[in-house]
Amino acid sequence: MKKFFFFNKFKYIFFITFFFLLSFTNFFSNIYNIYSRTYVERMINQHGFCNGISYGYVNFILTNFLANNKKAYVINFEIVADSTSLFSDFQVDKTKKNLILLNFYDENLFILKKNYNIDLNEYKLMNKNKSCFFYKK
Amino acid sequence: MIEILQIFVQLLIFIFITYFPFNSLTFPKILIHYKSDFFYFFFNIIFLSNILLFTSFFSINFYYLFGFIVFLYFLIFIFYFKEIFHKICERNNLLIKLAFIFSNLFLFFEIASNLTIGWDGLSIWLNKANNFYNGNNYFDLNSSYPHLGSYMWAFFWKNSFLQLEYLGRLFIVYVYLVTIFLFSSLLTGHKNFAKLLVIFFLIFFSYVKDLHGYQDILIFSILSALSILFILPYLNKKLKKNYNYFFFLILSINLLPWIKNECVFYTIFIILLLLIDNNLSNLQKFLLLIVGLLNISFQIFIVKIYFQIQLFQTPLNIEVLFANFLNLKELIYRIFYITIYIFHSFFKYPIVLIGFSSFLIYLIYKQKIKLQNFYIIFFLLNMSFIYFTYITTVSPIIWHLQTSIKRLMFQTSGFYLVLLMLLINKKKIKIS
Repeated sequence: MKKFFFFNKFKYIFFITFFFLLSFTNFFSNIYNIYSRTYVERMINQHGFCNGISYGYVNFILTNFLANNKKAYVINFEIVADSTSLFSDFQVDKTKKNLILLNFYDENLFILKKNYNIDLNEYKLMNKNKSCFFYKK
Repeated sequence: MIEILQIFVQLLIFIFITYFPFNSLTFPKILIHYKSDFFYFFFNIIFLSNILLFTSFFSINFYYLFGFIVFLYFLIFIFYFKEIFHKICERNNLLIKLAFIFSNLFLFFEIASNLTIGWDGLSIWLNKANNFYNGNNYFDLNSSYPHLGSYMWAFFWKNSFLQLEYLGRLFIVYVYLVTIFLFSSLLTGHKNFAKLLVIFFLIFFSYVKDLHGYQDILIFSILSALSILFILPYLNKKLKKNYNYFFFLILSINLLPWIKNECVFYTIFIILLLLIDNNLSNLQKFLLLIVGLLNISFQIFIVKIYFQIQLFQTPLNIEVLFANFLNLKELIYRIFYITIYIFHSFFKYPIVLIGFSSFLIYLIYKQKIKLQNFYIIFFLLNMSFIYFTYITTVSPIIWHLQTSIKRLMFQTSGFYLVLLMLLINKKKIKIS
């Protein structure tokens, strides 16, 4: 028993370091997070629903409106990396018939017309969530 | 719960697929000089990566490829089942083995929970991985960026049960941890507790959470492992002029240029270092030079001639180059900021500071650690490369430094960590 409780200074350091590694990687909260949230929920947590990369909104439109043909033209008005690479089966709709606008505000209308040659009057609004929109031609 | 199980399965797959075909059971006479199992893991990673590099140029179905590899390895496993079972059960180095498994799980769960992918990861590497995941090959990419990391990502992503993107990325972390544990095998005459302390210390300071989806950690791992291969003949005289050691060396060098653009330069540096290595025969040096040059030329040929695009992101502009070198004020300005940002990278990624400190301490005790000047030459070449890149850049210098220099410093920092192990062995740095 005495032997069991005998720890030299070095072994103390080792165990402290091991628990630091546990805490450094947030092991227990990670396990809880994976257990309690689905992959999509965790992705939305990291990449936002309708902010930043807006993974959540694009995922919502692709699953609910474009489930058979995951083809759309996505424009994000925030300076962030392209979110479409997060969807392995996503295809760019060069005809711009399915249009997803992310972080879009009225002042961006001019940019939409000038840079992308898109007139929203030609489209029908299919879905809206805060500053994210899905239009169909 | 199913995702947690899948992560365990993924780790088992990685361990299984990287324990064969090269290990002490299958090649006992050839591989007897490598004392640690982590060498076998690393050699098999290199071997597998070379197979994947080859198949990336063709449209080979990932399921068939994976099935074929696993089937072959399974036959070897069945053949050596008894010996493998004994090896698993033996208590020798049990602590290190358990620490390896737990470290993998800790980091795998961290990635599964924190699914962020950085800007380059999303816009470059995941795009490429998507291309391979959807059954296309290298020639469908039409990009100047190399592709090996993305191909491996897609390979393990496709061959996971849940087919979630991050499951493929876990392999990069696995490679990284094999390298970190490889360092511990260099520590001779130390107890396992001491080795684990060093391992945890290295993981603390080198595992960078904001590089998820990037290739830098893979470069860090391969350069670290290469630096270990460099000194093996000094630690074990039986490896001198040994052909199996050379075989793995050449396979590692073969991979480098296909990970990221700057690795073309690292490959050239490594080849230059090996050309002055006394442990290699002239024939080996000749073979090395030929393989290295053919490999780089092949890559340049595809990008420049086949894809007809620039080899590097920003082409070398001769006018800018001369203007920057001849304009003393601009030259001093750039050198000043490059130096400042190099120091900044020490704080951003502490492993860079640890690597450089090890290098500086090594310089003090150079006479007592009898190595050829590999690390000094590599340091000079690497620093020249960094200064030259940023002096000649056509992009705004501050922006360019802010976005990339820390990662360049991180990539090569692992190369000097081997010196830390040698210093610990020589008791110039005491850990217990």
